[in-house]
Amino acid sequence: MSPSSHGWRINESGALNGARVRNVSTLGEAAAAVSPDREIHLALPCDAALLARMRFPATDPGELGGMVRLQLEKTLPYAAEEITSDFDIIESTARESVLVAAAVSTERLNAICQPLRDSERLPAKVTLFVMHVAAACPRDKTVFLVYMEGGKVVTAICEKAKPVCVHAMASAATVRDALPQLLMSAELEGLPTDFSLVLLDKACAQLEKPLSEFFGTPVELFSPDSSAPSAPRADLMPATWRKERLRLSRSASVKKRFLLAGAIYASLLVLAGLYLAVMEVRVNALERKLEAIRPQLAFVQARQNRWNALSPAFDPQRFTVELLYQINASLPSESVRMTSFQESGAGAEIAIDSEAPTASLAIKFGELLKANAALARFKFDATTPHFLPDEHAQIGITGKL
Amino acid sequence: MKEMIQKMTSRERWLAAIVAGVVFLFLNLFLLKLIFTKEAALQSDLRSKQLAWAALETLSSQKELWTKRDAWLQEKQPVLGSKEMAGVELLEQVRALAKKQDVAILNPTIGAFEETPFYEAAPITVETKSSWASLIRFLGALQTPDYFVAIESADLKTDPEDVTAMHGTFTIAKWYAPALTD
Repeated sequence: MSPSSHGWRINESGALNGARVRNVSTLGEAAAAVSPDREIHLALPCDAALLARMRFPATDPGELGGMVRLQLEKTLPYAAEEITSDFDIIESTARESVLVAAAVSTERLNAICQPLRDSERLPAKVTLFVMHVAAACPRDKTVFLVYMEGGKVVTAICEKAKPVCVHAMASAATVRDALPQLLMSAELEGLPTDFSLVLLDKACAQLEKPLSEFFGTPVELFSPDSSAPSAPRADLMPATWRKERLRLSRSASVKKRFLLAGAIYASLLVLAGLYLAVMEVRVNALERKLEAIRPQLAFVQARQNRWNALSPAFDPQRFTVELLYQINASLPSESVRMTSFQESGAGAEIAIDSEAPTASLAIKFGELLKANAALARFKFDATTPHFLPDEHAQIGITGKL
Repeated sequence: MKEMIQKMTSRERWLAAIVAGVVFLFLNLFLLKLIFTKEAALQSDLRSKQLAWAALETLSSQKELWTKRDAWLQEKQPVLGSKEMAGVELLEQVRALAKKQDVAILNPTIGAFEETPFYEAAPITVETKSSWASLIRFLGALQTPDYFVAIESADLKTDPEDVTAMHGTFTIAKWYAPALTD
């Protein structure tokens, strides 16, 4: 998000001037227009910050950072904790570095970004838009830059594609009159004023002739929308915002996990419901099949019942003589004999008493009866053998269908 | 809802989260119990119906067999001539067979006429005295598939004095086809 000539501009592709550019009137609208999964890079209008060209006898970035902060504390009417600052190196030799420092009041930053904070869309990076515009200038030229930003006309002196002196003016009409004073101040500050190129925003095309006459150099028209600036190094994101952003990110991650867990839970419930529904359908389908086959079954069962009821009268396996034959065939030896046989219910129940010389033979008779395949339809129970006066063992066996 | 949560203190949020968690847990327990109970009932229902289906299929596949058997019964089961004479005729038949096999018939009685859905009969009760071999031959001759004679009850005992001799009491009936009713 960056300031446009009269409002805010959203570059969705990631680069400031990418394929999808939209213009909105407020930052709140811009926040609502960006999808929640996209990171926001906010480029501030130049009047939100202070830019200063500085020269330090050091080249180490860490060391330079400390020097910049110290210098800003001396020059700015704010306490160190009330400002956020960063710098971008213009040129560096073995002994010294020339840089442009940017500083912004945290209070001012909070006020500008309140619409983003309200919608919990804190930016991932905060820069100055003028640094992006300057980055599009040729590095080997000192460029005087004029463009529209938020209804104001911004003039900037760019050295090696870095803005070293920036002013915002109320209207284009005031630019021509302010130029001599502006250049004099720049010269006094030791800034380069020998411009080899003037870049003018197409939105201020009426200034082309005056600027050309004033500088005596060619004036090229450009559109800040169509330049291709690289992201400047200077990041004005306050440390408290970083923490808040981390907290919001964690909160979003937890929310996402909860949503995922909820989706999985709901899916499991749906699957369980589907499983039960499928089971129900299977049971019902089987019930319908059973209903369809039941008349046939009644037919078969009626005939089966009749057959079974009459079988004692025609089935040789159920005849008394066959029962006696099978019982006799199960006697373990000739010394074991059946002393009584009772049959009732047309062969449905039988009771046998037998005598054997030993208890083991009596028990064996019972076991042989149970093992007899022809009598397998009976469930046999045998009593414990008891001994007769002649020391023979007597056993009673009952069998039921 | 969001505003309400934002108005809560940290402690209130924790308490609300715990209460929500407990409610969610109980709701889950209730749901799981419901699902598992329903699933067990359906599984049991499905199993019993599958067993019934397998049994029915077997029976259904035997329809032709049972039709043939029914036709055989229709053809072979004797038809009753006279209720009054049924018992007498059976007794005469039994006596003749017993005499042939050297089995003594004692105390014969003719029982009350029986009617069941599958047969009608006038059972007789006789006592017998014979050798084991004679009795076996007598019983073998008495019951053949074509006669439809059933021994409804039997009580056999060896003679305590002579183990080769058998005493028996039999209830014998000829199972006639039931009379056709309108």
